[in-house]
Amino acid sequence: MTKDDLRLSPAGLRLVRQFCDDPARRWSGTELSKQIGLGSGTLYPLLAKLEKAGWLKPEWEVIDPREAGRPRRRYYTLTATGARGARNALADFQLQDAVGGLQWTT
Amino acid sequence: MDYLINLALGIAGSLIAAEIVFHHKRWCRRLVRAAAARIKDPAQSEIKLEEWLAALDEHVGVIASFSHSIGCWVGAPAVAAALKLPVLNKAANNPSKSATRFRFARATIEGRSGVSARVLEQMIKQLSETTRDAGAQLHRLEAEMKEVMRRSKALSVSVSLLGLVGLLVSVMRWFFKG
Repeated sequence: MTKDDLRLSPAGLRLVRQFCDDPARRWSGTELSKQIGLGSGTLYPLLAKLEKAGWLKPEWEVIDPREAGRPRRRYYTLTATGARGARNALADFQLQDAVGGLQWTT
Repeated sequence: MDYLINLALGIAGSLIAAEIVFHHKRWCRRLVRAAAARIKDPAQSEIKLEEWLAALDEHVGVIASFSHSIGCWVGAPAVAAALKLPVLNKAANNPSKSATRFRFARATIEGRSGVSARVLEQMIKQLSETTRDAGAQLHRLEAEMKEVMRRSKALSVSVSLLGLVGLLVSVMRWFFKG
């Protein structure tokens, strides 16, 4: 993997596609898990990877945990860098898919 | 005797299940703490602990809670590894880099399929035209089949009617003959 490239698994592509569908929306881990059907063991490493890459911007829920009686949720939003990267990743995937299909037919 | 054993097992099972339901959040929290502790960076460990505990609160039911906690425990090393990754170069979104990627993709297509991109485009165009023609032919065939079906239905009705008339004539002949 080069520094310019972020290789994503099919689960990662599903995750970035979910963000791309509604780029302005902020998602919590639980919402994403329910929406795309990924378990915590797959989802959180992917979120950490995308966060580290600067594709996602995390932010804490604005509540007082003592008053609310529960821990703060962590929300993730797609950054401009992430939006561009996600588009490239999805386009690359479609391209590879097309090339694979072509090889299979010829 | 079997009945008593089954009864005892049922009661014991219910008691254990009740205990699990009562204590599961505490056990899951403990598991999530253990998971967060697997991340060696204290700051990141603290962040992940709060995030995962908040997510645990959102999970309803014993199985979902355990599934989340075990998932966190299993995924913690991967999270730690992901957080150690080098920061990606911002040049990934540089237009000149994108152009390079495009050229690379084009070269990959040409290399892997063994034909030039222009020939490939022509092939795709021809393929789509052929598909369109095949679709139109299919529609025509479908219409013709429907027409044949309609005619055959009309024919079968006519034959049935003729048979009925024949039968009627035979009955009348037999009747007048008698």
